[in-house]
Amino acid sequence: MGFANLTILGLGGALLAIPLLLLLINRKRQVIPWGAYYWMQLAAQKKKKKVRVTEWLKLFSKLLLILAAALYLARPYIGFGDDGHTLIVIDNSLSMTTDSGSGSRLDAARERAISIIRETPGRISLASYSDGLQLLARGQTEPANLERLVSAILPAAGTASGAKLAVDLLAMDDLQELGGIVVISDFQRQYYADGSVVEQLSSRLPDTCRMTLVPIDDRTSINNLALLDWRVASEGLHAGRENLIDAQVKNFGNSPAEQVPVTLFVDGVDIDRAYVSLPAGETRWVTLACPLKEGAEHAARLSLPTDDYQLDNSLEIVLAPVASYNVLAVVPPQGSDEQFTKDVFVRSALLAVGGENSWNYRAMAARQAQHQDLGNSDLVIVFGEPLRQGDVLTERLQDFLAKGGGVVSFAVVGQPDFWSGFDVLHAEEDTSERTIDTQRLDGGYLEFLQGDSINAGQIRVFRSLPFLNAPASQARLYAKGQENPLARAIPVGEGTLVCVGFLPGPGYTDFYYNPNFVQFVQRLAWEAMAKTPDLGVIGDGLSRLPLPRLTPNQHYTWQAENQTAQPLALIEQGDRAYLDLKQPLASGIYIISADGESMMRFGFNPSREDSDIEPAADQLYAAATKRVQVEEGGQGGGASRELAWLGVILLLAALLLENYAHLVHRT
Amino acid sequence: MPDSRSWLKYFDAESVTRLSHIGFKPELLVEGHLVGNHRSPFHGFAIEFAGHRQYVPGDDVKHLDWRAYYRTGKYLIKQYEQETNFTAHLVLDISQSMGFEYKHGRKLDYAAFMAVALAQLVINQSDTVGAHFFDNELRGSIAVSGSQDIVGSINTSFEQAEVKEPSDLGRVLSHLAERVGRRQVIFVISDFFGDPEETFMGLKRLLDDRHEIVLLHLVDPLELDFDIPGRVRLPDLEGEERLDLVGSDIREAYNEIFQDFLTDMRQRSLALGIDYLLCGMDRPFGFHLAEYLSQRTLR
Repeated sequence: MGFANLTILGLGGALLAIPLLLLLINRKRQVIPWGAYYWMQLAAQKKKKKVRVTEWLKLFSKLLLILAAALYLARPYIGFGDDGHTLIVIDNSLSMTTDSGSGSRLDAARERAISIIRETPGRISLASYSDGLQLLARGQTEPANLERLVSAILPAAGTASGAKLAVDLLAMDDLQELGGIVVISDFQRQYYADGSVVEQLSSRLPDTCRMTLVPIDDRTSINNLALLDWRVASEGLHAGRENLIDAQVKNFGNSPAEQVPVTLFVDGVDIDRAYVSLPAGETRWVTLACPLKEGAEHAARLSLPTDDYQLDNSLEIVLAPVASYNVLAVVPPQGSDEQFTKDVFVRSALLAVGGENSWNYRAMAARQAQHQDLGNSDLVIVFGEPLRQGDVLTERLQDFLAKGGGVVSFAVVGQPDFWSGFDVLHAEEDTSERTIDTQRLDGGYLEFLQGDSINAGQIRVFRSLPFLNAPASQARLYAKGQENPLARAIPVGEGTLVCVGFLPGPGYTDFYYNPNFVQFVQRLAWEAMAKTPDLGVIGDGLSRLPLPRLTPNQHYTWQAENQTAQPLALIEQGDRAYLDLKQPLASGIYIISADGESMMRFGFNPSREDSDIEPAADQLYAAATKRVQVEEGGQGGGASRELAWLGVILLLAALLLENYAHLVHRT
Repeated sequence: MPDSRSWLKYFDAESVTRLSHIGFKPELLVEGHLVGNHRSPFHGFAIEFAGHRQYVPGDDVKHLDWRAYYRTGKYLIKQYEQETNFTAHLVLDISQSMGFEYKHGRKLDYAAFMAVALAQLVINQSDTVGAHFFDNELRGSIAVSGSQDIVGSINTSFEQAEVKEPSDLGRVLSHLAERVGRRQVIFVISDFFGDPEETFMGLKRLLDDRHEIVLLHLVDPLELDFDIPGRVRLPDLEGEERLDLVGSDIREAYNEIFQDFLTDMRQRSLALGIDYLLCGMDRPFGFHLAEYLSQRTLR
């Protein structure tokens, strides 16, 4: 057992001595020669025992009062390690950047850690904890060194989940030699509310080891609204057009938020603002207008007002309006009885957004296309031509795709093994009239129809080739009653092949009459071209950042805007290469360069996983056990609940004795 | 002319003057040797007409000589009945307990003032007084006298008194009964710190001789209410023992016990027809005597 405030304990000890010293020293009595001695003697005999008892009771009660006060003020604690080895763990995950009212939680944690270091005898090990336990010092005895290390702890990207903490602690090599473990954290409700972490540690810590949880910031009402995500219409962003961008807002607090402004800045200029009202715990999308005047990339930022947790209050995105893309359409010859060419509806749908400024569209027959240099095209759309193994067109497209090109292939029925050149299997033709399955729109090209838009169920398909063995991640469109998808996006080499099991024209579907056909075609094109009108990542989304071809003989760097560049390591794994991008803390626009030349600009945003910053205060205390204690309120020393109750009991006993002594005296 | 008594330590002229206006009248029929102011119990014996004296307020009007009034226009009392004086015996406690002294002076000194004043009062009434000093036995007596000298003697005796023995009032009273006559007035000035049973046995012995007894019980306020907080050491004035106490702890119990003692004294006195006066030393002795004598005149 130790004491957080030895000075007070020493003073308390001195105070304890005072009544005793007074009792011993102050023997002076007033002497009165007494005549009525007989009667005084009678009274003395009557009161003899009670007087003695009363005196001692009063003295004892006074000592207990002083002891209770001294214990309370001295802040006793158990488990901080006596003269053994204590491990102090400081949570430096993102949630610790929360403003606790007078600085951040991490500031408060550093302060508390330093006070614990000063009060703990023996050896001390120090670790920080965000995504895992990181040992900073082992078995040190110099407080000054430890304090320097504590002061240098910075927030780290990561989420300090309780379950992982328990796993990491229990896996420590030197756990058996630890007498005490102190964890200083905000103990978020999302990780600690159910008490299972405390339970697990209680049952598995060695008998010689006690743990103290030191909560920092146990407020029960913390304001935090967060921007979780954004979305841009998949038909892309077009200069000169009223583009729209949606922002997803969540109220993590436990009180409603009214009329919260969500602001869109483009290149630092306040472009648009929307207001949202959110009940506690609710999530909503808001739409903002995003006009873009030029075709260059733009740095955009969605922003919420300042609250207690800043990291999730903005989203940084790079917006890339559509440039001019070359589209090659491979069309079969028009039959004499055909009113329209096979590509007319797709062409119209493409040109409906962006026009000829965005789409440089030309069409040719397959025989002609076989001899074209596809390297000048961004997108090849094949209407009804089978892509079988060994065909010249197939081989040209394979080569095109391998180099990162995009291909959309529409099918005709009656042609078996339509995509055998790409190992894409399809079922027998389905000639049933089917409508689109509105229950399976997620991740597909008609996902936007999940809202209050035109009913996707109105779209009919009359003839189609469903795909076989299509993984769910590649499926993009389902017909009702049909188990297999009708549209599928397949990675081929560096490019993407989008296969659609029907022709977008008469006899196959009436989809081309539906205004949403425009968005459908735009999405096909964008996915095939692997173009992203908006580039931004959240948290560990860096690992999925679509990087262009990486080669080991290039020197890669990255930097936040207006900061110095940091080198990036190229990691090769099998036939895939990727850059080792470690999640930074600060949101912003980052640039990746190869040999000094900018190759990609994107917006980075810290993870939102830690946004539920509500502490698990009451639940943590309720879960506390003998082995794992919780320090009250994050203040003072690690006073265990038992010791707090002991102090209360001592106080009550003192008061009772005082009253009893008084009663004895009266009788 | 200077008051020849002013040099007496225990003479308080002011108090005595006040008391003299009230005077003391014995209630019982007393035997007296001189012609005085008090009715003699001896009716019908060989008494002679002794003349008249001036009427003074308080005299029984049935003794007015109306013939003399018609003749002289003066109110005269017939002295045809033999009138006697009373003798007061002052029984004075000089035991060790009378040496108690706290904030209101020594108990013995208080008793001395009281005794001197009473003696002077009696002398002023042309009655006679004697004094008897005691502790555990009679230590000395001053013969009955109507002379002013006896006041001085009483004063001197108090000045020379040594409080060195415990008291045994019961035994002293029994011995005293053999020395005084019958039908006297006996004032006992004491703190009565002895066995009440023995004390009252002695008093009863005196009552058997038809004495009128007045008990003047001297008590210091501290003895009435032991209001001493904190630690206190109480050596016994009349013994070798001592008590170490905490005043606040003992106060209530002691006060209760001592009150019981006083109540017992009062009740016993009342039962025996003895006048009992509790004299707290926080008040002047003259106050107590004046109050007592005034009450007597109203009876």
